[in-house]
Amino acid sequence: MNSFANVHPRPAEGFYIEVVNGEAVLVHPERNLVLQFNPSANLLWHLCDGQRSVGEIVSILSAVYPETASEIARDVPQMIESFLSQGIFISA
Amino acid sequence: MSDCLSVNFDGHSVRICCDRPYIYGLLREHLAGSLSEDMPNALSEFQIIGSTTGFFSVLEQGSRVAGPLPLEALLQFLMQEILTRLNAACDKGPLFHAASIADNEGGILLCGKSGSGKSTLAAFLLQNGYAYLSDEVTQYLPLSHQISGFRRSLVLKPGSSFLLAKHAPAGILRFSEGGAWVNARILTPAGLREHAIPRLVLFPRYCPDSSLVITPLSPPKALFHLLQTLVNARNLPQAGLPAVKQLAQQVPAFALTYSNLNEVLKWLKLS
Amino acid sequence: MPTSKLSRRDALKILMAATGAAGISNLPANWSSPEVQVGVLPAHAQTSTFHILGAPLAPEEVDPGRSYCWDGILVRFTASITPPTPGILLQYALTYNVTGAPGSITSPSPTTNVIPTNGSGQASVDVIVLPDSPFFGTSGTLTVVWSFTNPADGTNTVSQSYDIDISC
Repeated sequence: MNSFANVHPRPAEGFYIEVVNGEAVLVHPERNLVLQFNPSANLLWHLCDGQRSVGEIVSILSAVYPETASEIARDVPQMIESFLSQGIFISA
Repeated sequence: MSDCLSVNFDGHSVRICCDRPYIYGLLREHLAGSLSEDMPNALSEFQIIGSTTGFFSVLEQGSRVAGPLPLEALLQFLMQEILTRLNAACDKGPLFHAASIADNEGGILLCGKSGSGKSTLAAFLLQNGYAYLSDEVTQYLPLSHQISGFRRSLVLKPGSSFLLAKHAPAGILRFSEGGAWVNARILTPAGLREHAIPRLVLFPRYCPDSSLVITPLSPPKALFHLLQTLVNARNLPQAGLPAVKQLAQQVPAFALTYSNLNEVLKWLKLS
Repeated sequence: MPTSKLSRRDALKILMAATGAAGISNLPANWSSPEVQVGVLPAHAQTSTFHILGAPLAPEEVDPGRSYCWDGILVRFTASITPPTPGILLQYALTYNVTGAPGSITSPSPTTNVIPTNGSGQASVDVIVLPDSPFFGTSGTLTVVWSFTNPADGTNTVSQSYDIDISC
């Protein structure tokens, strides 16, 4: 895995989150932003706490869902990169 | 010599003072559901000043905030500005950009932005027996699990004038561009309501020539859509999220696409 | 520290610590691609933003030193909306009603167009009326009618007039 695997992402300040039936809904009043996550995105959000690297997050989820490890290895960095570029995540 | 009105919502008020009896009378009639005795510490006090040219200016603490405006524009400006000031102060529960009506089963929110058709739908449902809470903003009070609306006359856009065809002129203020303010009492025998326990949250969307499509929304989906009509998030703990979540979890929500108002009415009667 | 040999049990413990008991009880049975829906929280306190075209600013003659007979007269009309909002599209329609020697609007062309409001909620158009003949001048009334391009922004109209009397 490349150096992106060592990035430690965490949410930017200002988000409020509620989880309903496994799906998260977030609001950021200063940015006028509302987000809804499906359960996979919700798991990702909670794992990205600034303490874990992208690589570690991939490992954790791959251990929970070993049959889809290759999808996880693709999906997780993609989503984190997208969130970083939008300022939803920052690199700790 | 000016007459003054105190317009009240959620425990806050805006004061309007005017020395033209005709204008005072119009405001009094079309804000009747939200008037109160003069409350101390009004958020704002507006003074309407008329000129000999037939135009009006609006002053706030001595400074002009609008005008010179012709009469119709003055009235529309005041209606919007009063509501915006009250919205900005609303802090006892989430405030949605939603009309609301009620029947014997409970309150129904009609959520949506301007142009979504919610006021037209609300007016039609009032004509068919529902009671009136608001045509524009509805507050959810989480502690009592009730909704409450800003009770003003319905503000109808030009495309909704067909609803008024069978009504006598009394209680209707028509604007030259085709819109109208309609006193809710003339539309509904069920009258005005101050509160209701919510039983349905609807996201209606008028779509010409479409058949009625009703899509149930899961609580997360309802929460997501409700937040996009929330106008006072910044006044609330955690941006209102826990309170709106409570509403989304306790009250069924549906997205509606319709072109025929009678079909919506039929569905509502059965729901 | 998790390694590539992390057991499912240990991974679940980590997830439980991260998401809480509620999170674990709602753990999806299978992994699916993470999906995010993005929405917009309304601007604070704003519901229907219905703009009003107020009484326009007084027309002003721009560049009074120009030669009216040869270059025409240049008049600026300015419309103003409330609340003052940038980017609202206003349409102007210009007419020149001749009462004496003939003349016509030479700029702008066409005489009907759409312009956005600026940060102060104003939009302006500069109009040139030129005498048909530089030897006879022109007189008449120049009028602009302002309206909203998009009815959802507002629906009222206002007009302004300016009397022109050029003697050559």
